Amino acid sequence: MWLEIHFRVCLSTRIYYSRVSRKQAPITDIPFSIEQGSAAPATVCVSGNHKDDASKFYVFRLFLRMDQEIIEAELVLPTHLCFKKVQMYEKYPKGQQRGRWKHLKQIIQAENYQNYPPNEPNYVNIESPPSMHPCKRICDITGFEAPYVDPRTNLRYANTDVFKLVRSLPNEYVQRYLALRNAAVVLK
Amino acid sequence: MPFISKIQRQSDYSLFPSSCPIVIDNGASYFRLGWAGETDPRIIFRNIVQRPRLKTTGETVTIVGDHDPALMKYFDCTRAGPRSAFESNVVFQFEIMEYILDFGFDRLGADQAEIDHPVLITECACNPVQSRSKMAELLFESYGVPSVAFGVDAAFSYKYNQQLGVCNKDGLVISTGFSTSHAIPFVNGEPVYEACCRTNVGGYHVTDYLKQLLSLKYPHHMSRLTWEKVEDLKMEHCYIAPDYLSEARLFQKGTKEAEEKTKCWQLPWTPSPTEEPPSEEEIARKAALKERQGQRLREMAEAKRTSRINELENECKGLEFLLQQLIDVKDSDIPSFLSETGYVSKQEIEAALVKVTQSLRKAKGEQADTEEKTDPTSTEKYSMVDIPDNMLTPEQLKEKRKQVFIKTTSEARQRAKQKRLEEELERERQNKQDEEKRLENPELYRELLRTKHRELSEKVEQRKRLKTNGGHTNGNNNGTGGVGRGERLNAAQKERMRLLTTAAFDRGKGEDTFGIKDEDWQLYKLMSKDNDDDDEGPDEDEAELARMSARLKEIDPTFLPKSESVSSSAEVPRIRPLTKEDFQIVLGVERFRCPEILFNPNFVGIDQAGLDEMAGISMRRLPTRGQSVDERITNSILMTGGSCLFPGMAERLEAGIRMIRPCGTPIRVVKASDPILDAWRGAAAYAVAMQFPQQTFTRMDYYEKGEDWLRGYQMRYTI
Repeated sequence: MWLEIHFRVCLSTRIYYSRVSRKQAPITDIPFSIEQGSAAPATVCVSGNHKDDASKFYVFRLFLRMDQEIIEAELVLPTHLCFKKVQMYEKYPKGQQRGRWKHLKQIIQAENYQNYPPNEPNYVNIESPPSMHPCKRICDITGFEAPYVDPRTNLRYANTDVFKLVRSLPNEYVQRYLALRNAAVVLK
Repeated sequence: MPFISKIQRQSDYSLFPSSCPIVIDNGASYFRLGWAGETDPRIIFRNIVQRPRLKTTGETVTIVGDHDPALMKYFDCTRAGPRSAFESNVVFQFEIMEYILDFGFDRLGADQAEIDHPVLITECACNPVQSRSKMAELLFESYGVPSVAFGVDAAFSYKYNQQLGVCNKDGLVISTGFSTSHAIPFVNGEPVYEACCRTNVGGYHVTDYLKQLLSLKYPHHMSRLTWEKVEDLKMEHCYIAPDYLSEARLFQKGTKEAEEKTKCWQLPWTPSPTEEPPSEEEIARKAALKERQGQRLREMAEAKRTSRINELENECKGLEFLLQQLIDVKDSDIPSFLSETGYVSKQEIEAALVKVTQSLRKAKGEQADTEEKTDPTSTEKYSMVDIPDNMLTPEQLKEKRKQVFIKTTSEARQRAKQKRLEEELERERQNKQDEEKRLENPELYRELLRTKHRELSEKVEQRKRLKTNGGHTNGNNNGTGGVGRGERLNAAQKERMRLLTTAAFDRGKGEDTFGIKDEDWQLYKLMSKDNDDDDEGPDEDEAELARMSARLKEIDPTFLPKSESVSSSAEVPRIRPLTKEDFQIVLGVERFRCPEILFNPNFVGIDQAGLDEMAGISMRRLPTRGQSVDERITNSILMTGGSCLFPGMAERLEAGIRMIRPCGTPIRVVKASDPILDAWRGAAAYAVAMQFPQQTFTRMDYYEKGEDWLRGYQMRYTI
């Protein structure tokens, strides 16, 4: 299907087209190459100095290999957004190794909270201490009060019926029940 | 209540002056975006990003928020699940954050070269400065935002409700978020972060717990239990019990009240079409086909047989002819005569003839009656048995030994036959006796027989169980599940192991007396591997049991032999057609078990205080203390955040806090006017204030003052 895109571009604007070749071409060539292009580009990105006085409208007709429904729902985030100063494809170029984001643990470590006075609130010291109430033991399977623990599986159980079930559970399920309360055997 | 997404593209972006701030509530579950001074956010969507491939082109695309699942068929989502920019409640993945902001601003209708509006964005309490600076950088660099302000969502919610008159200027906000919950006290309308506390449990954990529990309870419906569906179930059915254990006891006893509280989710289910029994025509057709095939096979067998008989007869005739010819030939000429035929001597030909006639007889179906023939001649056959050895030549001695052997074996056979006959007689006699007994008093007899049968079967079962060591631990015994849980060996194998180990460790301990007694050597027999199944006791018992069950079957129509009943019960689930009940997901204890983790985080292995205790901890941490302040605070406790929508939350929280605080403390727990949207509304109301620009900082500020300043940056909420 054909899609009309209106771009306000100027001569210095460059257009990125064809996700395969990632070619850059000055705007003067563009309407030409797109209309000629037998290998239809899937995305066309425009960037440049938009505040240029010489800007005018160009109308491109692009063949997009996308279904009508998706386009109508505007499901897919456009790769180029005019209100951005730095586009995503410029910031995170394709095929380039992206630096991994620091996880929360690493972030906290980098904060060096130990260098600040302890009465100053920070992400770590506002955490709640362990509960003062005696911890309630509930049956891992039924949720009832659990007076017993099966020494073989370490599951807590409420009565003989549950015990029978516990003993008939395959090991995988036992581990999943234990993992619910963070008591599963974790192999590292 | 499904997810509410508001992602209509707004068209009035250009109508707002550049001084009008954009307000963002950047929650871990929802992203809300709108204009300062308005009552509702313009854009709401789930704070997730997916990067699937387009099925047609294979191109990776970005999808923000959640959309109509029907449209997802165009995408290959196998490798790209929904991803969040958050870990716990801190933004750490700024690439994802950027996609989300892109989408948000795009839907707000932004169409200029940059976002020329101040931005107020929420963050968690005591956000690490790294996350804060990255966010500021992103807003300044990528979007060209002129100024930014950070605030805490729970505080905005409290301030908004304070304006509405729901709570006072001194108070406490208990906010249950997506992955964390906070308690933040307020003194003179300002949050006191020194006294706030955070427990890492939130709505995410509740949903996840429910999802895990249900998928463990209904493993075959696991695919139906998607995150979204379970979230719906949670919002529809979960409630907070006033007291967990007493509520659980209600369910354990199965009271009527509990039954009423049990909810059920019926999955779509259509009864499977009952298979119609095949028509008579069909049966007849099948039978005819079978008959025809049988006939063909029989014909083939017959043809084969006749051809074989023919063959054998021809051979027989040939051999007979040869023998007749031999009669005419002189003895000396025999070898030369036979050289052509392949035989060596006359005896050999005769032997071959006998063989052929025998097989011919077999082929014709006549009985080989060799044994009967030997019987009358037995006396002659064993002629040499009675002759003493010293009167015989070596060859005769050999012959004699052979005869003795044959004689003893045949006699043994005779004896066995005799015994069998006697046994038969005995059994008949017993049967007759039984019959008499039965006729005397059928009821008593039947009862007697039944108890006997039960005892015997128990005995046999016991023996079997000992051998295999308890069949009741099914699933553990076979397969890998049982390994390492002490059920690897059956009793016999264990005994053997014991013998071997004792034998191994016995050596060198005191005097070695092994082998003095003959019984000692029996040990090796016991140790040998094939010792396992040579006991004869159970065999007798089993035979008796079989006899008894046969008899019981004869006289008692209600009798069901145990082995059969066991096998039939094992087969039941396989052949039972699936019913409506199999497609029901029953929510009983789960309804209050899952939200209970907010009060008892140790249910999910988080060793931190629950919501009610958090209030107490937060009060204890307050730097300025005094009874009047404490009382003012407990008199205005506000709960906000999605999880306080559970019914029973306020009551439970009040009861919990009452237990912690001194007797007679005034306690008032109120729910926020709209626990979900109040944070955004508070922020939007805050951002229109005249003094708001003083709370923001610009790009210049940020680069001049540096990170240390940003660390100390704190918004004033009373302006």
